[in-house]
Amino acid sequence: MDSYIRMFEDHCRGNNDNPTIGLILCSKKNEAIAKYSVLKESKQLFASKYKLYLPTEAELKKELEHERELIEEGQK
Amino acid sequence: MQKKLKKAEPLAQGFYSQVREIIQEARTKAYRAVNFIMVEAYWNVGRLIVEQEQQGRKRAEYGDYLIIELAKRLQTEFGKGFDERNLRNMRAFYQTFPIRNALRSELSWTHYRFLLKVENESARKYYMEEAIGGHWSTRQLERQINSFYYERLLASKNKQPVIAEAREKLAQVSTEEFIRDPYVLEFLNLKGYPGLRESDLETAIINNLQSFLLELGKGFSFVARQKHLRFDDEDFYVDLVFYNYILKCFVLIDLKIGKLTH
Repeated sequence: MDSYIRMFEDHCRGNNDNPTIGLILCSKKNEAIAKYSVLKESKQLFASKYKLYLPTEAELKKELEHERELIEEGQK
Repeated sequence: MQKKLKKAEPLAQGFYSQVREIIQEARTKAYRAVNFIMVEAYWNVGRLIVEQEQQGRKRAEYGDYLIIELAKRLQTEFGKGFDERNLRNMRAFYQTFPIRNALRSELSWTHYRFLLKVENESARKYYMEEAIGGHWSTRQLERQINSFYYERLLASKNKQPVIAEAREKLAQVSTEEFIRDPYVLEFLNLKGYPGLRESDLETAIINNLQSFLLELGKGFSFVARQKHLRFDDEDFYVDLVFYNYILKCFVLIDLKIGKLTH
């Protein structure tokens, strides 16, 4: 993910945009994982500002697990 | 003398879009056709069950026996899509929508399953028309039904805010992606094809995730799916790109699917 972020920063981010962040999601059968990915130089900004507006990793984990359950249930 | 190999050039964006559109349109059409054939087949199975039950001696008991036995044999031959619960759904489907010509090809079997749960006929008809006219996904239909959208509309003197709120939430979700109903895959006996299943599960989850983030109301706006990045002559794809207009930053999302249940 870090390399995706760097690539994106180099080629797609605009001059007036704030640093890009990543979100890694993994959906397994009975469990999901959500993890934000932030480049070293942006960690301070992430902790002090970004976190206030972003859904928490716990919220995302719960949502993913619920979605997976709904979809798998629809296949019975 | 060997010619020096030219560095591979990326494709022109317009050209790729055209090719992509052809394929997506074809997939959607094929999917829609199969879906409707399946819905009609289920309707006919429901009809046969009801007609057979009416010929049975003691109706209530025979009905149960019939469904149980039928489910057993059908599942052996055709798989999980024909379990008792789904056969009961097919029966209810025929009883609720007795006119075959009234079946709408825009609705999937899952749409109909949700509609069957709405007992009030006016409400059900309303949801049906809205789902078709508004191109609601099954998730959107489910949400509208669960939020008593119809009842709230009836109850409020000023309907505009209720309608506007619903439309706003629905409009935020991109309707380009045609979510594929897992029932159709099973109907076509494609369940055992792991590659196809995993990508469908991934698409379904990403679609739901997209809705979730847009509905959060925390400044997320949709930018792209499968965003192409190129580095060192290699191609990379980011599953989902959002822009948060409050934070004024991009959010790149990558999804990995772990082991499937079957």
